[in-house]
Amino acid sequence: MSRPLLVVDDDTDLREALEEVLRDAGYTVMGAGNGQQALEVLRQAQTTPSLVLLDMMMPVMDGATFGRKMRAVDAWRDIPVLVFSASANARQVADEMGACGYLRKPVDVETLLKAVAANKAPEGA
Amino acid sequence: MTPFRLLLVEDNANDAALVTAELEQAGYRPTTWRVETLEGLRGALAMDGWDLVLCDYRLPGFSALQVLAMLHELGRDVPLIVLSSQLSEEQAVTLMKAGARDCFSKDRLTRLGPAVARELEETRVRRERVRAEVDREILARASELLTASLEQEARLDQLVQLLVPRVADWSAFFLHDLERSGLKLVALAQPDSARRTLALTLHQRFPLEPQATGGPAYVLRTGTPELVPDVRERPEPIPADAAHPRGVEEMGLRSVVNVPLPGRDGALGVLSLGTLGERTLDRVDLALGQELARRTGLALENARLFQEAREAVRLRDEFLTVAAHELRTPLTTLRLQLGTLLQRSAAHHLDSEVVARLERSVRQVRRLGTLVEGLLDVSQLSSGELSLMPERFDLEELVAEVLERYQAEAASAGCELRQSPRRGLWGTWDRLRVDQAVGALISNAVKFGPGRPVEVDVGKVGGFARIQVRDRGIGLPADQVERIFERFGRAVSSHSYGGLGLGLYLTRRAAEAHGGRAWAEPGPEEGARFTLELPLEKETRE
Repeated sequence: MSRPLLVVDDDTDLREALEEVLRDAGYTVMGAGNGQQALEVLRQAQTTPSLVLLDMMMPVMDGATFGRKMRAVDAWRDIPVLVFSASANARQVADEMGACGYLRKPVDVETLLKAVAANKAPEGA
Repeated sequence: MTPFRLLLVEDNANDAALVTAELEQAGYRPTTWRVETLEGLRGALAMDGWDLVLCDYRLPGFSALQVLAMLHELGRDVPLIVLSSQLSEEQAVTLMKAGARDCFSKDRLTRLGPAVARELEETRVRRERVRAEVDREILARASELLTASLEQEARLDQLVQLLVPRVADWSAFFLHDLERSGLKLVALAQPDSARRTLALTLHQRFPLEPQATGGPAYVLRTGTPELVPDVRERPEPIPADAAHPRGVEEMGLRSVVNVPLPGRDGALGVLSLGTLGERTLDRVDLALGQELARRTGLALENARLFQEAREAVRLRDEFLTVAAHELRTPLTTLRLQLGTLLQRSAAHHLDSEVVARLERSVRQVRRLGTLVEGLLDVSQLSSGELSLMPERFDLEELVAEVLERYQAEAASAGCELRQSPRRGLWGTWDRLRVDQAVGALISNAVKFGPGRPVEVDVGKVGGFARIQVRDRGIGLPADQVERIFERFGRAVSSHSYGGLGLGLYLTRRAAEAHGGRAWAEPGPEEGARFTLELPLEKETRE
């Protein structure tokens, strides 16, 4: 079974829309509403995700904190993170947290799929 | 008759009485101070404010020539008339050369009245001229100071220094402190440091009472200027505390002028001038104070408006950033949902009419996205340069893509989009920014030239790639060619044509960030022509 994607965004409508697009494209998708939930999802997941699509501004635990905590766990250290932010300095944020790339909201289906395909960890890795 | 201050240098009491009688005869009752020794003379001349010196020729141990020399040395502009029992013509000539205004024998005292009248008048005119000159210079310097800096307190401090000692012995600015509904001393010029300390202590111990019937608080409340030639004659002390008049007395305060600083909504503060000892202030000083206060009030008001405008712009930019940020999340959801629907349309056998509507919705959502991006770019730009992410691409291909994207919009406006033949024009630029800039030019041409073709030429000129967009629309008045590139700038009323007025502004900023240019000109026959030039050599301006 291929490794799932983890979508972390506090906006439920947006998260579900993202999940839908990604499932339509053939991916297995897990969702989380903030960093705290995302860590929980990672803990319970049977397979490590091949990519985290990460919103930055979230209640409870923001994207940057989640990124730090995730990287502190050996098993999760190498999961690629794609920053997905509405902020004008999304690129800078992505650089700072060592993400593999960034997407600026709003984004359309093609761009999203292209970026996910380009950044997810190769199968079997 | 005008009162004046007479210094009588005369050792003979009888002669002095004769002179006084003669002056009375002529209608003068001066405040007279008689000295007969060199020491007494020195003491008298140490004070300023003399209007006339009447001097015996020969006195015990000195002569009128020495008196003249002392006046000259002290720089006192006081006329001196020599009265003598016997004076040779030669002596008279020497005296006149030394600066005496007149010499005559005590036998001919009837000449005294007219001579005094003449000297007082000439001195008055001369002093007024000097004073007008000083006032003019002070006002000119004040205007320079007021326009030079927006740092309020520093300016006011320099202004009060300007007035001391030329106009007054001390000077202060009080500004209306809205929080404490009182006056705050913000600048004080007082050459004597002990008096300065005393003045500051007085101000701290006796805050200006809002209900005062005189002084700066009264002037602030009523907006009426105040001239007190002699504070000792003021009917009642300003604060009802005996320590205050004692303090004022200790300072040696004599005259006071308080004038309001006029502002749009009442007085902004008070300019206060004062003299010490014998020196007094009059209506001319009041007028100077009023003019200074008027200019200061205007400058303060302008500075305040400037601050307010700057704050409003800051708030607007902050709002734009937050608004754009907030709009992005729902826009993303909308785009993805519509995208998914379109992708599934075939599998779900959707009606072609439904698909057409979906496509239209996608276009509109994309347009909404562009508008939001524009807003965010503007707020970003007001805090600095555009940052570029250069990559190598074919400009002609990009233009073709943009035209393709605007095809539907152009078609509904009845515009045919034409691009010059493609040969390939490669360079290194920020693809997204150039895409936005070209898009703004096309969108602009379609908006203002409906029903007519829009021509897009891409070519090379010198070291630049040049994109020209020509429409045949409503045209462009010559005086608007720069305005339209301003932020929120538009050449036409926003009632007739929509848009935020950001597209061309961003186009120019993008061109400039690349080291290129963007400009507009009226078309050769009709419409308008917009040019975007981008350097062909690699330019990286992060």
